[in-house]
Amino acid sequence: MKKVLLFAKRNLTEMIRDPLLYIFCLGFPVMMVAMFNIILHYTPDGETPIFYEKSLTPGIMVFGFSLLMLMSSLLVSKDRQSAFLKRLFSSPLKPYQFILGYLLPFGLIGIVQMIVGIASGYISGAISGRGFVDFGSACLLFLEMLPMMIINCALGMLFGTLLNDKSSPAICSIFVSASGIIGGAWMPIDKMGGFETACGYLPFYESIYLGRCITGATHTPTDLESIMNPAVYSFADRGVLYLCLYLAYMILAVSLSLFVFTRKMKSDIN
Amino acid sequence: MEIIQVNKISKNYKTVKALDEVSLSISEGELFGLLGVNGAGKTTLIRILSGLAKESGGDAIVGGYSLKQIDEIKKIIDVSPQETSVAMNLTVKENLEFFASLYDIDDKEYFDSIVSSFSLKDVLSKRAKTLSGGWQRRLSIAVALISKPKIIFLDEPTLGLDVLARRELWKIIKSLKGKMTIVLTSHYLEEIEALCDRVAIMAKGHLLDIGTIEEIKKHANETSFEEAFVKIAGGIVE
Ligand SMILES: Nc1ncnc2c1ncn2[C@@H]1O[C@H](COP(=O)(O)OP(=O)(O)OP(=O)(O)O)[C@@H](O)[C@H]1O
Ligand SMILES: [Mg+2]
Repeated sequence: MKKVLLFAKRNLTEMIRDPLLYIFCLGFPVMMVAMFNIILHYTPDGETPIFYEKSLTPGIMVFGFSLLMLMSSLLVSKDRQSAFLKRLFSSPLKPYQFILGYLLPFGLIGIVQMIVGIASGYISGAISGRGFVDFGSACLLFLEMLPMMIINCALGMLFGTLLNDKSSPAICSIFVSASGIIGGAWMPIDKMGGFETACGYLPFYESIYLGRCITGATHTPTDLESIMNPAVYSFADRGVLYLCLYLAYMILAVSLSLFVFTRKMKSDIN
Repeated sequence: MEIIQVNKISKNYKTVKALDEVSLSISEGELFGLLGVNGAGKTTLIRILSGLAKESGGDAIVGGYSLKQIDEIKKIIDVSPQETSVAMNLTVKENLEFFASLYDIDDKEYFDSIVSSFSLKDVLSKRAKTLSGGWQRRLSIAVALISKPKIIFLDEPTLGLDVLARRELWKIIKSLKGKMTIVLTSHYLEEIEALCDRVAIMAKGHLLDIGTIEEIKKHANETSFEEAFVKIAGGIVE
């Protein structure tokens, strides 16, 4: 465990010395909340509840995780490209120590990111009156988002292991846009019928949907009636199915990245 | 006592035989040189002995352990790879500390002695990426020594160093003589001549000759080491 922490500390240091981390992973959620508040200021009341803090916060978090994935994959692929990781292969570090040493700092940054994301949504929402005002929901949202954060850390390690530092950002950017579009972070896919059903099979929308159940977000209105009486996202609807799929994705992502990393480590020693 | 014994090690890559049944032995405390032109197989041999590559045939005993027990070997060796390999966003001090702790070394005095012999004192708080290539190289070697290895493999240690820095590194390497077993590769004849107790000459995966500089000169019937090397390695390279 001592060696794990040692390697984890090095990785954390390496990451927090990159200014991009602050812009991407921490400044970003605050900026998003501010931006959507400005948009809301100029749009008529009630028409775009997807931009309310209670809708927006889960989406911003998922989007932020994909940026964390990008930063994580960059670290791993850079270590592989420089002779640094190879040199560590000749040290007494064991494969599981490498894996934990990477995943721990990724997760730590992820947790900070979650706190910043939830706090900015919570505080801004409390001021604007469009948020989730109860602390219990904020804590529950934290728990609900954990698997998505873990998925992104695992995939970051996976892409960093498989790709070089030129192509891993490219692949990760697919995920960045995926969370925005098919995750429905700021696109009203809840009114898109078949498209929504399809997105429901992927963890982006699942995590955001479940998050919105917690924050009490309301669905996109289609007529005057639904503006007056907005329907809230409900767990009873699809919650159980989404939760199961969502957790299954987490297990899949973690096992895949563990498998690939250890395989790749063995094949690098050839 | 023999600390490294290489027995008919072969390494086949898809298209090349990087090592072809190479056998040699190195005594404890010796400064041993692997000399050969590009592609001779020097790096490959070092990588196999340090667990970074898997042999295709043969075996070696390193510090009393067979290559099958590579985890034990890893505890007593360290490598300075041909490419500079340090953590670029860490400072010089952090790099040294990281590698020392990795091998459970906690010896302030030794730490300071490495810092002073590599003249790293003034750059301790600088990040590795802000150092020039030559200084990164120095750090890369210092980092390999910080783990107090019994055996150290230096793959082309003076690559990219200017004349003065090279001489300084020679001095450091000489000062380590007897304290640990050093295996270094080079294609600079004068470097091998200045430093090594014994030399193995390699070409195209074969071991061509082994012995002290004097012995090798005698084998080739030449008075200069360079002529001897050309005579021994030249035939096979052309
Ligand atoms: N991973 C690899 N895959 C395929 N061939 C390889 C690999 N590594 C080395 N080789 C080949 O093995 C041979 C020996 O290479 P090696 O790097 O050991 O030479 P070297 O003596 O260290 O040369 P140099 O002085 O250029 O560093 C070369 O022909 C090289 O092309
Ligand atoms: Mg080499």
